[in-house]
Amino acid sequence: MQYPPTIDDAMAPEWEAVYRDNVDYIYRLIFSRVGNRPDAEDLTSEVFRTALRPLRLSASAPEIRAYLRATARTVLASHWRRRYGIEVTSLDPDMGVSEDPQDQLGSDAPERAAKILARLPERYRRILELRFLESRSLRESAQAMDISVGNAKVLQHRALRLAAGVTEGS
Amino acid sequence: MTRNRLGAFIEALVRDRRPKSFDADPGEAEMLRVAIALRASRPGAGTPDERFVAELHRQLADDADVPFTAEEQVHARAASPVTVPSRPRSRWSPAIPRRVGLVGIAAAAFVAVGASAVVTNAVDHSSRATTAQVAQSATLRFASLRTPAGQTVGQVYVHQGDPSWMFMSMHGRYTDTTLSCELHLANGTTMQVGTVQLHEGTGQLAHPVPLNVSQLRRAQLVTSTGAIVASATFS
Repeated sequence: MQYPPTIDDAMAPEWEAVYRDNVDYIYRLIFSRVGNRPDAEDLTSEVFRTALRPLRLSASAPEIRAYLRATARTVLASHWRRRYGIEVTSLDPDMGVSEDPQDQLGSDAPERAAKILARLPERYRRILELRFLESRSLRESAQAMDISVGNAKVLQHRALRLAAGVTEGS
Repeated sequence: MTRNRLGAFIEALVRDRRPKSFDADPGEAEMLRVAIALRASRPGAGTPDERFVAELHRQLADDADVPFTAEEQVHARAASPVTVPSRPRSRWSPAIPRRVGLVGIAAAAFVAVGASAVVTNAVDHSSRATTAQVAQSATLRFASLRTPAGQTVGQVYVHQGDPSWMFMSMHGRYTDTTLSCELHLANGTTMQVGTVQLHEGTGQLAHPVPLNVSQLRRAQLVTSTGAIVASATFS
């Protein structure tokens, strides 16, 4: 069996290329686990600041992405422990890392959300759709469902609790 | 109380603001997880703001103290040796051997997991940040990954920490396949620690390992039938 020579230094990417090739991927990955832009931006920054400093760019693209992903996993875990004392979401360490541009999404969030909503009663599903998918305020959601704001708040809480129980058991 | 802080978290998510911190119990964590999954599922929700991408790029360039690329620096120095200040070689210069590069990757991964590491001569010491971050007391072990015929096809690094971590990289002319990673310990036990997906002959594995790394004697990659493809022996 023959093995290829080591990567030619001339082929090694500039750090800018490493950044541009991976910033979308890392951001999307983190956003899918925190759900808000400020935290996603802070954590993405932390990943690149941590990772690029000691990084040697002679490594291959898959190696670099695997390393960035491992860094993101650690940064995310630290974020949850620091802010909430418990790891709310995580990145699967065994998940494969692909160079395929189609994998730039780095998120399975739509699929997971569809599964959650599909198993809820209609009213619970509706309040969560209005709030989380359509970004409606509690007042707007209440109006859309023809209920009071207080009822909308209670409905939202119960829907989340039931959805959490659903995901817990699945 | 639970409903109030959960409600505040949800309001922040819906308004795309940073939620406030609080100590969540497991039940709350599960509800937060659901809320995040729903919020992140909106079409286009995970697209980074172009201004953020540009600003982070600028900050990283500033952090690196590299106002232009390494190649441009070389040209600048050659053209104007008087006016261009002398500075250490860029820590992100591409002209670094592959083995050194992989050590850098491993060291960075260990820094990333909140651990410290003693990195030996393979680290680029022109990197102030690297030296500052990793030159602390801890244990980093390294071994080359070799085929049964003795050919080097990768590297394995393990770092003692909480948790301990392993980083493995492999490259060779293999067909796309999945290999299992086994760790053999001094007490004779064997531990399975995930799989390596080979794509066009290359694969990596970064994984926490629940062990004292001083007990590690050998790491090896095996096929589904148990055939050893490569192994790394720790002295």
